Amino acid sequence: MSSDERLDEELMALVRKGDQSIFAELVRRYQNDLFRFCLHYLKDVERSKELTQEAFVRVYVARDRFDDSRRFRPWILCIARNLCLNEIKRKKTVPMESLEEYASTAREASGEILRSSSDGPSEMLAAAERRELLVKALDGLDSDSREIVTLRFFERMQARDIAEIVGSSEGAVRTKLHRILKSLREKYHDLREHV
Amino acid sequence: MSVPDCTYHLDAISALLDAGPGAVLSADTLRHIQSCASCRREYEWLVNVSKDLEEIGSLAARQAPAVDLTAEVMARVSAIAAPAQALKPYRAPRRYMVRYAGLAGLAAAAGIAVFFWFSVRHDGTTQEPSELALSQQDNEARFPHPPSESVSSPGNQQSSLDELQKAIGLLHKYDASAASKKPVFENTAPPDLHALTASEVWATTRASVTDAGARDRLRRWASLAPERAKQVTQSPGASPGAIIGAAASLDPAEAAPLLLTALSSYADRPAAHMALSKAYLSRFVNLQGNDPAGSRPDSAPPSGLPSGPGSSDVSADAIAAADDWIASDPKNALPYCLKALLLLEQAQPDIEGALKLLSQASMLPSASAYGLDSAGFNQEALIAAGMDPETAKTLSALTAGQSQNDFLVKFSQNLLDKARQSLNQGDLQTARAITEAVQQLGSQVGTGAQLSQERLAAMEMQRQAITLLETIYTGLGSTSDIQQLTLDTQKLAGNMESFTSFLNDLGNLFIGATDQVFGLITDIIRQTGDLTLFDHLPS
Repeated sequence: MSSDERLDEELMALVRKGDQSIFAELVRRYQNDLFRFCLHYLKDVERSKELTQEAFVRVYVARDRFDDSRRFRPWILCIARNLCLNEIKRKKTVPMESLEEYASTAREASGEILRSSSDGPSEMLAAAERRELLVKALDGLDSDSREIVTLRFFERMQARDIAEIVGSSEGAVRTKLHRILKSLREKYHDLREHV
Repeated sequence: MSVPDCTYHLDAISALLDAGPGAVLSADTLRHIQSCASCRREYEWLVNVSKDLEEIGSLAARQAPAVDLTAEVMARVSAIAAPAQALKPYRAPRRYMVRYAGLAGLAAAAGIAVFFWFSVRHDGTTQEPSELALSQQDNEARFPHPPSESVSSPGNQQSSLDELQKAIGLLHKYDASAASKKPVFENTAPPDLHALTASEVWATTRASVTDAGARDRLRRWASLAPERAKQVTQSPGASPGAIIGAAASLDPAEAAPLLLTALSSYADRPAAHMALSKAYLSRFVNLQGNDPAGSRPDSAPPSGLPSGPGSSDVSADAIAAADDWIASDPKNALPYCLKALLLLEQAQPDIEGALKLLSQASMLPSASAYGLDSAGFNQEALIAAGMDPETAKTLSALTAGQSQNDFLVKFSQNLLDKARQSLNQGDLQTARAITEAVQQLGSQVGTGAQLSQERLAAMEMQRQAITLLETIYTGLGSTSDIQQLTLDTQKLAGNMESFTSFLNDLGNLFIGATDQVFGLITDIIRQTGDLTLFDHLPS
């Protein structure tokens, strides 16, 4: 079986046994995810690259601690998150990028509007307007809530993984997510009324 | 059986959010949605908002640049793996022991040899009092608001702390700083430079394994008396190496201006200029620690001497020397850290600049203070002062790395003092960044070491940083950091134990070595250092 087909956790078990070269496969698998994840916190491409490297190095250093009954992805994202939060505190910058900026930068770069490929023209416009407002509403959330939104919807993680990353319980994450969406809905409607 | 109300169906709708792709609502809930406008709106909202948010995230992800960091990460991973392999587990080279040391050498019990290299602690009283003074309660009072990421129960944290303290207890068995303690020159007769022979040096080296007085004598012989050292540095024909070597025998306050003068004389010789820059910077940084700001009643420096911390003119020279060193040796973490300390020492400390440098340094694979080069400079100085060349070579080889040990330990103490200042001012993140950088620098020095004294310094730097990090992480309430520190501490304790075995064997080798073997040992140390001595001795 090639390393490409193996589960992350199986690769980590081999790394722990001393197969250093296998670690490169994990780096290839996760470097872009991790980099994007760091970029979201730091807004700085070079620093995000550095912290992505650092996260991998810390994973390697802590390889003997990895419990292969758990999943690798939340573990490495948790390490990267801690590094990013430390960096933010160290630099005393505003934590978490403005989601509006996050989305509009992406839009400007691509020249496309937010849309779903299956929509017709009128649905596309409606969806575009809805998402514009949604992005604005997201910016009204506190940074902890935005982080949960990022992990759940941008990184598409389930509550149990988010709980592992942010050091909380699965139930608490679900409750928080529910509250966040409720708050988002109120903000969204307020914005729509003003428009 | 009661009919489920809206609350039940709303919970089911919410649960759909986390159910993953392909999940569907139950037939009951779907029927309810068709008949209940309020729940239908809720359902449509959740479906649309999930879809919209995922779309926003996807678009942003598509726009993020792709990176390929595999080579960089694997290079760092290899650098981490290499020293660990080098140190574990140390196997005593018995073939050398039998051939070179003989029965007398083997009879020297391990503990005896270790005593003079690693002073084995008998209790914990030599811990830094500033760390011990900070009790858990002090920490809670000082850091009442732990950061949000450190979600851990007090029980978990206490258990992690107990583990960490147990691990730190292992480190206190060893006092690597003992190796760098200054010899008591007052009790040591100054040498007759012209009369000293290599045989005498070898005999004293054998004795030094079990006799602290002999160790002091060796260091004394390898140093020049201040007056003689000044004569060498000011001699018109002195080579840059001799100047550097002689300046190492002077107090930093005297050495720094002499080296600065020499620097300007060798501006057109890049290699000499660089060696002098390194020497000047090393002495200047130690001067900073020796002369804390405001400690002198008279703030004006003696004529021709650096004016101490915060003095912008001298700092500019030192910073220029640091920049030169970084430019010529960009993969060595040490000059970045030296410059960082200088920025912190300025009258207006540049904390951001210093932290940036420390961060850059932490990304590098290794650090070196170039102990072998310094041994060569020491040899040149001793010869310039009139010592027989063979004796000078022997002395400089057998004491190689000791001044780097002094310098590195002192330098890291100065940086950690800056971290303590930040801690006392409540700037926990700066304290953390500096202390982690010292810990990392210790590890990097260990990787770059060629001499046992450099490796001892590396361990001492890490030990001191770990002791302070315990305080900082406890204050932060960060269980994951405490757990990582525990692992680092256990690894360091393992390395110390392994290295102790090596030092025992080195001591045993010295005790039993004939003069002829000592000649061979001297040559090998001067060329490659003592850490690989057993690999180079013919079997």
